Amino acid sequence: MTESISKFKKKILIEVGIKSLFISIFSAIMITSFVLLICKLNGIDLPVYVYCLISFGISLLGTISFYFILKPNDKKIAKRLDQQLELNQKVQTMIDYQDDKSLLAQVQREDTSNRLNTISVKNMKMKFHWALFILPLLAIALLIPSLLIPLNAAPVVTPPEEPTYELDNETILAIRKLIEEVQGRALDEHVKQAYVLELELLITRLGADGVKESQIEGIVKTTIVNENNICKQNTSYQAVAEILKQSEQTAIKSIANAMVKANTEQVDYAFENLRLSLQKTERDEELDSILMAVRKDIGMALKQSEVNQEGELVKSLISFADALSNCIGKGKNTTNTSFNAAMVEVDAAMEKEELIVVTANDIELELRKIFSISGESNDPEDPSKPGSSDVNKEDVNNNQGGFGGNETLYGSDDAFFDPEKGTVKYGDVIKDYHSEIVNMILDGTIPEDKQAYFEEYFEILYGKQTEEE
Amino acid sequence: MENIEQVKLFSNQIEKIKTEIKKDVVGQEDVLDLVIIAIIAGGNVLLEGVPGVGKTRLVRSLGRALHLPFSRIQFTPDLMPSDITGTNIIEKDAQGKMNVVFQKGPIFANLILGDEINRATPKTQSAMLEVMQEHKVTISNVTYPMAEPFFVLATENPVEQDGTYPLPEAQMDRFMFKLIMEFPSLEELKSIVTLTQVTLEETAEAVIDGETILSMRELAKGVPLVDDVLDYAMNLVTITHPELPNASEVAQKYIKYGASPRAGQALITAAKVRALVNGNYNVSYDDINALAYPVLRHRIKTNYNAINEHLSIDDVIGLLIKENKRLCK
Repeated sequence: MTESISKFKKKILIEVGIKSLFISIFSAIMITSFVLLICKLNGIDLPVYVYCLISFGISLLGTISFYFILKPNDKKIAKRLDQQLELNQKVQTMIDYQDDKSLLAQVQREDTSNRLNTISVKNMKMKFHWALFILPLLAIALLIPSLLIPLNAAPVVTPPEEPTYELDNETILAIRKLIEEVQGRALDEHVKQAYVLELELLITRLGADGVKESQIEGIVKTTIVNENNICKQNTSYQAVAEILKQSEQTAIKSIANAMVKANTEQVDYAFENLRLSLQKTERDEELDSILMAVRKDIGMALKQSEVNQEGELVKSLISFADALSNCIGKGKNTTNTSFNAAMVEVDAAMEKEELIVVTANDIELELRKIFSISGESNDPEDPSKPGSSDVNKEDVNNNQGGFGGNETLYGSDDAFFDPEKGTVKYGDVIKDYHSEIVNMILDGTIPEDKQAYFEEYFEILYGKQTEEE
Repeated sequence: MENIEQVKLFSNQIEKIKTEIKKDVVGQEDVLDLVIIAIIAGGNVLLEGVPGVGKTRLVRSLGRALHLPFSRIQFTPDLMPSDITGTNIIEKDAQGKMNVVFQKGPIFANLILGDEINRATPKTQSAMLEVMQEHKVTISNVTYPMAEPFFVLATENPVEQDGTYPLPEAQMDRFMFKLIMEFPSLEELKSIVTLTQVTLEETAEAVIDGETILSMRELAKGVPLVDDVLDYAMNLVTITHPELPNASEVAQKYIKYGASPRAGQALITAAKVRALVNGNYNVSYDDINALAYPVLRHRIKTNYNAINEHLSIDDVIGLLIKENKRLCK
């Protein structure tokens, strides 16, 4: 019985498959167009294969889904056959009464089967689904604007092509002049060559093809850093100063503070203070104890430290300490003579290191000037470097004994008392300062034309009483 | 007994009956078909037509073809119920003894022609109720069953309304069909005249008997009916009621009151027979639509709107069918 409608059922299922395919394709076009439209309006530029994948996926899933949604059962097929083939509910009755064993039901099934067998499957026309009319229209309605609407992409800001740096003769000449100046200095040959080599390298780097203007500052700063590294590698004053700072003696601390500035003159002042303090001792025992302390704080500390022992400054300081220790028990005069002799060596070593530092600083200043680079030093830890702290060494040199920009007094690391930052009140040390100044005035360390200045300063603080005291 | 041959011969037997009747009745083929359907379905028919269109002749000829006793009752205003059903009379037997015996009335036949039934008084008309519905007569507490098949074909004249008593609704509902006999066409009229010039007697011969009619009736009851068609038929009956919440627009506009449940029964019973008569083995929407007119025609009453718009009852039924098709699509 059901065999008689199988040919019609097969056709209907094929028809459902075709319908499902078309509905899915149109749905896919519609959805993809919608996605495309949304993406374009939001400036999202998806690759074409993404849209192809969306379409294919929806078509595939849609075909399967719609097939099972639209697939009719036997009753629906029977109803459709009755309607289209004008069979007066024969097929519906046949399906409904397929299990009925009554005579009339059997006759009815037989009659219907016979009728169906005489009808060609071609007589059954395709039944169109409403979606087949609506979806194409919607798909076209969405597809056309989605294709026509331009991508609403945010304008891509193309950065203007960066100009290439052209090394001009003026710059080359300025660097060459700097090289000549460095070569003219009394530096050790290997230090001098290192500085010169780095500057030559700078010219080569700047002259290379494709160097952009924005890269110039970086290249120059690299050179400055390299020059500073050369300076560090060939000096030991900072390491020495760090060790000497640990001394408990004020004179040694002053030497350390002066040394960290790489200023030979200041170092000389500090040593002179030490010499004066030795000369002021009233007893030989007192002198010896100081000499022993100096021996311990300078010589022993440096020997036991990790500082490069081969450095001239370290060697001279150790010799200085040894020379003073040899004076123990020999009195002031011998000590003074030995002190002066040893100081020559220290001075020479310090001057060498200062020249290395000054050269590095000069190179940095000059390079900054040539390339108009301002800003901080590349070596912020080094207070002797220009821009590394609040004090410009050059400015300080031009204003001997003056004050720096904000907090640091040149020639000393003592900070002005700040209620919020400071730890030592000025009032606690002012008496020490005063006594020291009075000594310096008395022994002529302070020139006569500057003495009035100091006297006036302390007179303001203490009044006439101080002088009387 | 049902057998395949009987099923397949059903429509042939109907054709034989029709052929015999056509010997005496010219035209009126639709009426003839529906009368035969009503007889097999066990229903009664109300025939409406002007005098002389062949109503009596149709029934007579039918009786001959079916080989069934025929009885004709002419309804008049003075006709009494006992004139129809019969009455108890005192009769002297051979020994001279007086006995009360029941004298059967003209209703005791298989085919009854109630001529101009609307001329009898309601009292007399009501005497027909029990016999039409239950196929039995009760007189003096004694019930007399009718011989089966029992079939009442009543006629009424739509023209002469004077001295008539409209049939009560309950009685109308007991008629399966109300059929309209149209005035014959010119050709048919010529044939009638020609035919009656030869003889006034019916010439139809018996081609079937009462037993066969009853077995055909039983057979028709088994005709398959799908739920969709049953729903369609019942919905058609339901939408004739303007008072129901889901009343159709047509009913609300044109109908005063709708069809009774008997309409549904008549529709399905007759549709099954019609299917077999037409050589089909299942009931279709066509069967329901075709029978809707004779089944509903006397069961629904149109209101003033229909009269005002010159819509006949058949027009309204046509509208109901159209609406039902839309609702059951």
